[in-house]
Amino acid sequence: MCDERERLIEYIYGESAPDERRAIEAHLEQCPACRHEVHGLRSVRDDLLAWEVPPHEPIWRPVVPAPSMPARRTVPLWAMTAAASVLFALGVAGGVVVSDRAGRGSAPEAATMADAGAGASVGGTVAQPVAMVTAEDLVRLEAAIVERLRAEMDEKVRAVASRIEAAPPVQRVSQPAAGPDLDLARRVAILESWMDDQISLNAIFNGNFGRLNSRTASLSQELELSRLQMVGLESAAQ
Amino acid sequence: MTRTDEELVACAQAGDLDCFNQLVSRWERPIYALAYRTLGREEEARDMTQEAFLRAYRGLRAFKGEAKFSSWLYRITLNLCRDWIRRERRAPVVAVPEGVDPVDLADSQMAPAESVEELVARREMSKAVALAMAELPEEQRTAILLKEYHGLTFQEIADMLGCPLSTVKTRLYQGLSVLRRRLERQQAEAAALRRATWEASKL
Repeated sequence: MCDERERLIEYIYGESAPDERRAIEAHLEQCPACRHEVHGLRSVRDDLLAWEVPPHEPIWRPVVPAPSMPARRTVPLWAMTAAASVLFALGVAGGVVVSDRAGRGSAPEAATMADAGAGASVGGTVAQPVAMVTAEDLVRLEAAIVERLRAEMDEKVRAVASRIEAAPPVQRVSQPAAGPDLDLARRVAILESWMDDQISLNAIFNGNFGRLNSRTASLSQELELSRLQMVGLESAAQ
Repeated sequence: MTRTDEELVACAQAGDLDCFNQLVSRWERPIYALAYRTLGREEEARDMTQEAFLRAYRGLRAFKGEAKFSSWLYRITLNLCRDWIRRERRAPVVAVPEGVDPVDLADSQMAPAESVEELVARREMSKAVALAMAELPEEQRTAILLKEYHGLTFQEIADMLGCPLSTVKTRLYQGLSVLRRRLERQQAEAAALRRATWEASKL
């Protein structure tokens, strides 16, 4: 047989240049060996078509933004509970802030607030903590602090969540049918991201809690001082 | 309007995960087919496919578009398959129980009735091709896979495998010639067996 391998391969795959193609066809007319070869190559190509790939489920699962972590959208219960107890302390301390400022503050404001109380007997310059802080003030303060805490935590949770979403889709979120290994890997990935979230939330909460705690402590001191002052003034007045 | 691979790649490179997912859904079947035909194992083909897309995702920014996205994916997949074969020191197999003679297998799959004869013949041929391909040297098998089942040009294959154009053609020619001899032999054996069974049934 003549050595036409490369040309025959080009020819049977239709990658010959047009003039080359004509040349091969002319050659095939005269060369039975090459004709036989081309026939054989074409028939094996036909056989190759029979090789089937078994059907398969989709393999790659697009990353869905955290379908199994809806709880992360809201502030966790434990955080809310802890925040509530801080607020309770703050409510008391906050009352003092208002009264303290009122006591030392400008005359009209102090006077207005003092109207509700019985400050007349000890004079305008003396603080009247209980009388000057209304229940409404406390509710407002509490709402403001809850709002701030919630916003701060939400923001952090969102930041953490978006970092997870932006991460490469390593957690191939699979359907239940995707096999035990994948499922396990997914669970581990979710647990790990949960743990990270909890750690950051804890850090935020601890930071806030520490700040609020020291504020409470200093306000308590002021409260105590005011009380002593009041007691002294009262006894002086008697 | 359907976006081209190039458009989707650019969009995915800009960080749009949805574009990458579209590329995956477009190329998952061919990539799985390549891995399956290279390894002959379904489970491993799935793993390779997943790994190939994971690597593509991670390496997407480094992909400069010198080659087609699909060629790049094919190369990743072939490299993974080659590493797997070397690591496991295992040759490609056909998904049939070990120790089963292909001729016995062909015999056991002989058509019991006229109505399914064609189906069985096709399955027989599918297995026969898989067996014959599994015995080819890796370079010849890869060239045939890329040409026959993925329609790459000689030039694309040469670029992907990093070898001269003429080498690709030679590998294809040699591979097809070997396959042809093996398939003809298998078909002859199967036919002989069928005849023998038929003769035996008449006794």
